[in-house]
Amino acid sequence: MIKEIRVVNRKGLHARPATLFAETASKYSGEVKVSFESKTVNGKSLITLMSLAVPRDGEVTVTINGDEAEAVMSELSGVLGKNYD
Amino acid sequence: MTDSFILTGIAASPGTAIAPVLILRELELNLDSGGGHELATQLRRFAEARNIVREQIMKLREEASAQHEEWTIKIFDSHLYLASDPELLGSVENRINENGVRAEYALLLSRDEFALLLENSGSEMMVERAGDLRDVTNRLIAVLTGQKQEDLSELSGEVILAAHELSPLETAQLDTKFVKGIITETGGYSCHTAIMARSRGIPAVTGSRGILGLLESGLQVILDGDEGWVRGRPGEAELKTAREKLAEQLLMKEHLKAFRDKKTQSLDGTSVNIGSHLGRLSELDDALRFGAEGIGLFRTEFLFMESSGFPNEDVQFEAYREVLERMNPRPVIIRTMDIGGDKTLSYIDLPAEDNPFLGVRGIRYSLRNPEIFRVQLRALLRASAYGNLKIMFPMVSVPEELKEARNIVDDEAEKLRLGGVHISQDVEIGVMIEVPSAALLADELAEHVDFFSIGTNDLIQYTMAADRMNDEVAHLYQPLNPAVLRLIQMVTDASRKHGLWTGVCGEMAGDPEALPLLLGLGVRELSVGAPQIPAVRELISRLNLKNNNLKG
Repeated sequence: MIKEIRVVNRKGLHARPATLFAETASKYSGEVKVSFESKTVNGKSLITLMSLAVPRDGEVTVTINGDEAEAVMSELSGVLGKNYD
Repeated sequence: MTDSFILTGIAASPGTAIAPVLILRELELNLDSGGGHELATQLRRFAEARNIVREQIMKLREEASAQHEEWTIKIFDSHLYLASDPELLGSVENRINENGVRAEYALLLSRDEFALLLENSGSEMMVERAGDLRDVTNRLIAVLTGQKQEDLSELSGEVILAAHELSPLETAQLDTKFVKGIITETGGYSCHTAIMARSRGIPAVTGSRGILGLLESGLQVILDGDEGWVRGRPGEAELKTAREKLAEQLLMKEHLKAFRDKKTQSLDGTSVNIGSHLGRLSELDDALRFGAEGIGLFRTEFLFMESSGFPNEDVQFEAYREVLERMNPRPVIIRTMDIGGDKTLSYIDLPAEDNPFLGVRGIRYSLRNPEIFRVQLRALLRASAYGNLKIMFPMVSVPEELKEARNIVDDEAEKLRLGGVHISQDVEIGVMIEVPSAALLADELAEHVDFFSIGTNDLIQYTMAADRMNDEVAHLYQPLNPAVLRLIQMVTDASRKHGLWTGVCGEMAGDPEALPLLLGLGVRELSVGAPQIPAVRELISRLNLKNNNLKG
């Protein structure tokens, strides 16, 4: 399952939302990949997620393989779809 | 016992401190790089170290939680996650499996690999996160190599911390009850240590290269964060002076705390707006914490000086929007780029000039390079929708320059509106008065602007033709010389006549001797460094502006 999601947080995919994203993705046994500007990283790794340096309003592509992909996708969309100030 | 010595650095956070030094030693990273170790043992050591470090961090997180330190709690949350990050773990385990190296050496290599990844991401914030990654991996390496690290949360007496550099977390953890001062060998006025030290009121000297070689833990020092020096093994007379200064500062600090969150008002109820200067986005927290009623001078040069080419419109727009949004509805005065003089850029060829301060700088550069100027103006106008923006032009000498600059603003605004971009209708345009001709022609300039902002540092320098950094002529740099005051009065008179308002940015705005004069002349907006705000506000609260008398 593939979905494009816009990062709403004012500081982009920064420490707080990235930590929540990785934590949420890690609860899931299947694979979670995140792509931004031709780079693709492991969505469960805080370090590589942050290395994408996604700014506010950046569009990331999230790819989930495995069961329950839809439920996980909606949870991850929630993480990216809000501001964390 | 050897003699007293003095070392200088950057005055990063004001105040005096007298205490013994505590040196935070760097982790010893000269590790065994040999292979052939038993894989299972190394993997087990790595797993055990992770457990120990997770417990350490949990304990620190609990302490932060008990103190309601939201920012620190969030950092520890991400540290806990970093300590078990799957990509970091996988990378370390691969190194152990492939080369049979010791766990700590594998970790060191992986740490550097990932830190580089973050540092190269092109985002200032990710460079800070690389610091978090180092914090966590260093904890692991310390456990694996049996190195004891000073635990800043377990201090029991007053100290002045000295380190090569402090990580953001180390800085955040500092207990102000015991940490009376900070000395670092790296950094400058705007490094994270300096910013945190200022906002927490810890005196600090940064960028004091080589100082660790002269210090040892337990050595008594005096630190002067106002002037930027550290004295080791002070004599009795020096201690006495420092103690007097310290006592005075403590009294003042208590008294000023109450003025952070007040509105600025004189004794007879006249409102004044005290804004903060802003040189970098990271100083915004300081401005808010010290109760800035606006940004009086946002110097945009950092955007141009810290990149390898002219920052594009979107990059500039984001920076301006952030400041405007966070300060809204308070006013933010943004100065268009003041390149030239002593501020050059690596990626442009400024012609060599015999007198750069009398050469192409400020608006002169912008008007000669309209394609660059227009990018900045578009970014500013687009950002205007997000707050209370005022734009001002630096180094204007004659009305023609101002007219030309305004025409370009109007032209870009018109184009944006036609393109359907929402921009604020209320953007005020102002001119910086820093050249004597501009003060003399204030009457004419007034017809083209909404406000004046007097940049006193340059105005004094150009009026007196004296460089205050030149010791031989610095005595001629006289803020209160009648020549300077008459020029300022010409500006405030023109301002009153044309119904404009006048602000002052520069050291005079925070000078207790000059302030009553400036306010008496009709200045109602000031821009000072954020930490100065409470003191200036307190002073104004004792002034009677109608009679212009100082009541003490």
